[in-house]
Amino acid sequence: MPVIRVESACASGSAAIKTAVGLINAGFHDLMMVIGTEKMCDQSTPIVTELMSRAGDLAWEYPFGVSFPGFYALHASRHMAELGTTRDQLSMVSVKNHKYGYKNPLAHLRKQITLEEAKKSINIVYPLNLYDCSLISDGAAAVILASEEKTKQLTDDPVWIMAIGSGGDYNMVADRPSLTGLIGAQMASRTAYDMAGIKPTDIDVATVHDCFTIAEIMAYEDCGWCEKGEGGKFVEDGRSDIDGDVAVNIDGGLKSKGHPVGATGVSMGVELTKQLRGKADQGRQRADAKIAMSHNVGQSGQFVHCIVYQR
Amino acid sequence: MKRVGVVGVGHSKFGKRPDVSLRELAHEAVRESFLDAGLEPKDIEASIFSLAGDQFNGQTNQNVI
Repeated sequence: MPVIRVESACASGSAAIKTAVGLINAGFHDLMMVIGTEKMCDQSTPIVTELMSRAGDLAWEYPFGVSFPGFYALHASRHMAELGTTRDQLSMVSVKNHKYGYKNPLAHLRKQITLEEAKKSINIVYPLNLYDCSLISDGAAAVILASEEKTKQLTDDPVWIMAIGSGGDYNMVADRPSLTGLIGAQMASRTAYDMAGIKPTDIDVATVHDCFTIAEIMAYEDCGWCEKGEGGKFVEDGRSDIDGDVAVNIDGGLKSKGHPVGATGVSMGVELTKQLRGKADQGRQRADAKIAMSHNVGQSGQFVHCIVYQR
Repeated sequence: MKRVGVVGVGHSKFGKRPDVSLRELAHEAVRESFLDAGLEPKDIEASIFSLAGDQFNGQTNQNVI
């Protein structure tokens, strides 16, 4: 069987889905499988952190010791300084995601945490603590995709991929005009909404790339679920909880479910399909979910894909 | 774009998995997706393999199905 490998750092899984959708719509194939997998725990945390930081610029970022926690600490610092986001609000993202990861039997770290525990966990890179960081995990996910005609032959009640929006950014973080959001994510989500003919408020359930808690807060704003600067308040007011405006990461997210990088984008597709079928685990099903979106970020914002799923 | 259907999904347990190889790990998800879709490996025309880091355990690519 023909196989193509796709690699786009942490957004590889969504890039793989986009590649399959493109090939199906170009008429190359009618029935394809997308497999995302990664086995990271064979290496120690310092080695994995070092290997991943090579996604940063090899001349101007990596040699000076900027790792991924470092990149997102810059985002968090600027978000706090310019927009008033608080340390507690970062922790609230972590508490929410652990609450739902606890209810997901496939999650890596099934443990509920309190706001106090999250706030008092050890500092990694100011202002990010241990509980602001996602996990290094082993894992795999697979989706089988079919053309519209083939889908109708196979099932009466499919979930559809309606739109895929993508965005990018300057390779080096220092070249970017602002650190309080990801331009690639703004571009990707707007394109996806336009392509699907929907508004941000139409999304019932979403998986966003919470590699660090600040990334989820920026995602609320970048995806247009709230105004710039309101992301911290959005989680604090429960608007991203299971019964909020949009249920975000009610599978535990990268924070609690885990982040085997090549699998993550595909895992998001699996989760949203289960949510739209009404087959998510007990205690973490968004009621009456009809439209879903994944937000998957690779590197430090250079590769972003937002995929709209609909039943 | 023309819509595309999701006709089967599968997901391994995430976590520390020294009990399986990369191929066995992928197989857990692949097998479940076939059962979910009611399809067999011979039905699939082509596959896309997403793997971000060759460096994590040395494996670079494989045909899992």
